[in-house]
Amino acid sequence: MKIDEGLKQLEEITKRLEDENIPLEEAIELFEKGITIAAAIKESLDQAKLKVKQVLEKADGTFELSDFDLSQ
Amino acid sequence: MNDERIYKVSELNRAAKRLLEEGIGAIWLRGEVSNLRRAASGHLYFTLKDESSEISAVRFRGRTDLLPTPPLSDGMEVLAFGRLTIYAPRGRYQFVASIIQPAGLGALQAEFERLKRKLNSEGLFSPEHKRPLPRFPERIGVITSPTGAAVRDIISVISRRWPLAEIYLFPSQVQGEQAPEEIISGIEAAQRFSTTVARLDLLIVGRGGGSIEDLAPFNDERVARAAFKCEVPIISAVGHEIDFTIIDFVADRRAPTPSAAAELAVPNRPEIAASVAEAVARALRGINQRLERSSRLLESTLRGYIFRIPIRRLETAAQGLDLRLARLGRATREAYLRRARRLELLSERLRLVDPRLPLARGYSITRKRGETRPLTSAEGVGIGDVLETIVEDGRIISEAKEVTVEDR
Repeated sequence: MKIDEGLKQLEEITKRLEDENIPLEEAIELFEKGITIAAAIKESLDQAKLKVKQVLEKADGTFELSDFDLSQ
Repeated sequence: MNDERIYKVSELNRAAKRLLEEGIGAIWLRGEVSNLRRAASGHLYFTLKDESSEISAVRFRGRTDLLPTPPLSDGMEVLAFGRLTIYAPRGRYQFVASIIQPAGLGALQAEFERLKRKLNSEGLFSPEHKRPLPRFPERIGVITSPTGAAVRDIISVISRRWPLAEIYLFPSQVQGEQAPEEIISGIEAAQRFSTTVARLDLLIVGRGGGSIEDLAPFNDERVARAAFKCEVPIISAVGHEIDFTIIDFVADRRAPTPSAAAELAVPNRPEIAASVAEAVARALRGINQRLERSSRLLESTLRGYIFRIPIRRLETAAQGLDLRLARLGRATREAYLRRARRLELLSERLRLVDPRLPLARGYSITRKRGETRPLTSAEGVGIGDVLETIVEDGRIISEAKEVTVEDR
């Protein structure tokens, strides 16, 4: 899931849950969904590891990617 | 001087020193640096020369620095301000410099101002061309030297703040004659990569600090035009705080250093985590209030809608989220557990009023087909209406043959 989409959905869900007239079933469903999204975002934030690629453009216009190693 | 007198060597050197110092005074001297060496004391010793002549020179460490001395190298043309003197113990004649500047500085500065005016008048710096930076960039192109400090700084900052991003390094020299060409190819390659392989959300173009000559490629008109043409938003990141280069005016954002560029480029994880936690807290408050209202309502609404209250969902919600929630941190988890107990309580109460319990004892519920409310009155039922009767283990569909309404 993309972080910005997740945050947007979470915000919408939260707003909806703050609405007094929401039916109970929908509230529970939204709450579950919100918690799931929040946990997924949190997990992405915690687990992410930066990827660094070095890009070389070849004569034929294609690109060659290699892992960039700082210790080089 | 008294010509008949016999001088001691030290007297002569002192006299000559006085003559030189008073006779010539403080001057600007232009020449090429050679034979440069830095003594353990930190003093710089070198020779200044032109086509036909040379002189020893020294720049003492710790002299009041009117202007910081740029990194010197052999072959560099400099303008030095200082005094001519004699080092008496050795009888050596030397120039003691207090200010050293690259000799080309004036010319470079003038060219910088000219180019800045020109590009400005063409509109390359205008605010309407500045694009906003994306808040959550996924792929960041970096155009700099693969061996410089800049790439390390950028990687280290992004790795700490926002490792969700991916960095694509387009290696290019950032000083010397080849540098402008390579920076331009880097920008253009990044643009092509973005349109043909994977969209780049922004580019960081730059290098660490250096002398004005070192930064010259970023004052190159062709580099500025390439940056202007590039469709991917650019953050310029050249040098240290105070250095401004032409590309800084063309870029969508200017960062004072490569590290600062990386900070501008990405959000910071803890801040995003905090806003997620806040949203969860609000969601918890919202559902708590909703549940409270439901349990209050419960007593007074045991009729029809009971079918719609999702007992199973409540149970699932109460039990099934622990795992996901465990990753959300302690405070959130505690708030959640309080809420989960409430859900359990509520589902208990719902179970008590579950209409399926009376069904087991022989009662049944009848409603018009397609409606959710059970019938509580014969009124409103017409002959021929299709009715659905719910008993404990199934349902019966029937048709009304006769309808009698009794006075209560």
